[in-house]
Amino acid sequence: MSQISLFLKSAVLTTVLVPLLWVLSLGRYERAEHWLSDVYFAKLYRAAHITEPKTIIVSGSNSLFGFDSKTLEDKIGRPVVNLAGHAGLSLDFHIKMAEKFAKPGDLIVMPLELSYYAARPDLTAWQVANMSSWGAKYMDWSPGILLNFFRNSSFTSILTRTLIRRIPGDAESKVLATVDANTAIGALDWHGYSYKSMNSRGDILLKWAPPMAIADQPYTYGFTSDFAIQRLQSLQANLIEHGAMLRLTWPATMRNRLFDLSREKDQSIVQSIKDRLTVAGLSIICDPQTFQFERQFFLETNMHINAEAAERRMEALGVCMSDSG
Amino acid sequence: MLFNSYEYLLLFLPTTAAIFFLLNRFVSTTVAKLWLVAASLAFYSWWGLAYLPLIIISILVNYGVGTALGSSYLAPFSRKAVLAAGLAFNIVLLGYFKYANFVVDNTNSLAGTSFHLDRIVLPLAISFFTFQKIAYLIDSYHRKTVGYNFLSYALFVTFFPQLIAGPIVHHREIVPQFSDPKAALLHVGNIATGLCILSIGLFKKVMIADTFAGYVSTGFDTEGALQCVDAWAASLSYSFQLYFDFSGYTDMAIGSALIFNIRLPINFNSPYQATDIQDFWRRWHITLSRFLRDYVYIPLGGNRSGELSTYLNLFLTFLVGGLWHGASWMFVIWGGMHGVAIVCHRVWSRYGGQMPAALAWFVTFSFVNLTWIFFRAKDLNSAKRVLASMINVLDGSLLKMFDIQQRHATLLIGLGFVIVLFAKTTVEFCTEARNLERTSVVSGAALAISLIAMSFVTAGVSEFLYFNF
Repeated sequence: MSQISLFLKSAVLTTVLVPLLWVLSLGRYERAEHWLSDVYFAKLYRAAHITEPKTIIVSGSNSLFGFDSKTLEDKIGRPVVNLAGHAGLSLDFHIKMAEKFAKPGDLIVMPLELSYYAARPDLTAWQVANMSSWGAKYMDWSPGILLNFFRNSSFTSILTRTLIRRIPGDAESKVLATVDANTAIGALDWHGYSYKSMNSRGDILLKWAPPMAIADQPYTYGFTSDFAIQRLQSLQANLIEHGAMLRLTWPATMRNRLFDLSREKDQSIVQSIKDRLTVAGLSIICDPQTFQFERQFFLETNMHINAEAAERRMEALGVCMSDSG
Repeated sequence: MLFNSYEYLLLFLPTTAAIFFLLNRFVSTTVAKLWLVAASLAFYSWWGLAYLPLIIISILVNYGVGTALGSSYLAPFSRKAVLAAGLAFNIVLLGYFKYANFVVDNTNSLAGTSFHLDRIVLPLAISFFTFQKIAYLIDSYHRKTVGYNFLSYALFVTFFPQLIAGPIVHHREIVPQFSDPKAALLHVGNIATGLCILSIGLFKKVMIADTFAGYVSTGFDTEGALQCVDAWAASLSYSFQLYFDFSGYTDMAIGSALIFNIRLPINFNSPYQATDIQDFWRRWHITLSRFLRDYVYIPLGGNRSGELSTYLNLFLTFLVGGLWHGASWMFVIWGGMHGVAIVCHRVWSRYGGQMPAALAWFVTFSFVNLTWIFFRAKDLNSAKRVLASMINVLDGSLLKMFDIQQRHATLLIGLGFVIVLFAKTTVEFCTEARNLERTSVVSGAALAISLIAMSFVTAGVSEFLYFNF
């Protein structure tokens, strides 16, 4: 009987220990895009320190790269903070960022990547890895979210995070000093995926970067999900309730043989997204064609435009933001 | 019902065992056995009721034929005729469900005919219980089953731990256990050991085999170019996946049965430690090898008619073994390769051939690993693709085995080698009297970790590989 008793005690203890180990391992190292941790630190620092009504940019990396907040500030006459990060992050992550920093009088501009309109509630392995490591400090860990992330984890990741050192990172003062110094320079040289390529407003505005993955891409087939629509409706209602406003707009895209907005076929695909949003009470501003650029304006991927294209993008965005009030 | 499901582990097994022992204690052993047969049929029907009549009819027919063969009322000629009819019944049943589509497809492609036969779904476990019944009939003919009653026979066939994918138990080692009064008593030691074996088996399946599965799919289930390092990772991963999957299943079967005081035969004995191919087949799927030896190889003539005839019998036995796994030329090729290897080994041994143990192990493992490619690949082109990529060492990808993308697979395969070469078998580990406390702690933790891992969305519940056979 003592054998069975030991067996059961061991099983119960392990059942308690493993989830506990997982919770304790949150925020520790795992293979993920750790550079985003410092990037978000600098962005959030600025967002928290602007006291007057501001414009917050929220999306994946199409607006982290190739977005000139200073130019937009000059055009619209209010401070801009760019909270755009990575298109692999969940729609909920971006929405939470917007809700966290929106204050009365703020305007939230979301040039979401088109894939976000087809978002599903399921977590991807990438999201789990990133949120469980560097992203842990940016998450609101309710029991439901904890359970969801735990169920989408693996033992390998638990062991990795338990056994491997804490995430290496630079001192906060160094991060802030670097982005401040970059702000004075304007368009920067490529320093890799790092806050070292970013200014204090949260833009990575580059003249050049080594090309890596500038392949043709369709960007969207026009599919929108109920989940995405519901989450954006909820965000809009929340913002209105707190005296802020939401403006959806189009992301930067590359004109290629799979997605060319001068063609009727691709225009109708984009129009179908717009129609669905409109029916749901979500307006999307600007002409998507004004944010589509030729291949030579792209940096290292087909999502990131260079500083020259960013100026044209800001011009177009400034105009349609003024038009839409 | 899958062994690696919450329904089985947390509901079916404990409930069935509890009621079994309560009935034994407070009602009667006959009612307890009836309960076990009913529970086993419910276990079998979990996937669907469609084939429940098939297994029931098969039990009735075989018990009837076996009883007739064991009686003294039939003349010798009639007994032979009854045996032939009984064997034909089982073989035709298996042949229809397992090989009819294969025969029609091959006839059409060879003769240019256009016979049509709808796809026949293979009834679960038919390959396993057909073999058991064939053995029962032949032994009944030899009057080795006298005194078996219907309930014991039905329980022998349907007993759920071994019903789906073996071990292929022989009536001689199971039926007497059901009749033993001690089997009706709750035995704490057996329950503890059974839980230990079950838990380690579950761990092997959920935590090890299913982890290798991802690398196997990368190599075998994708199209296009395959790097040498990926092909090796896929091939070795499959060797480990199959072993941990099937031996994990067998452990769970042995552990489950032991909770009911029934000892199933071991099916694996560290097969990847084998230093020749004959040694391998003495360690891998032992109960299948035993069946093929007793009911195919020996009836074919065994080694009684000279050396050449022995070689032919060995080769044919392995062809049958290959075909038993499934109606596919890939299994025939796999069986044929092992048949040739066994013949070569016999010739080598006959002429006193020897080699150092390490080299012998390397040759044996390499051969087994190579043949698993044919076992796993969906067709010959797919097997050739993996093989060609494995040979293509000049692509330089092997040098990247410790790069960040490959490191996980490389380490996992390294761990696989360490376990199969140096770890004890599950039964050895769980029955080591000196360390019972340690085994209880380790197996309890293994069960908990596996149950938690089963809750992971990415893991899900995956079937055991041998369910397909």
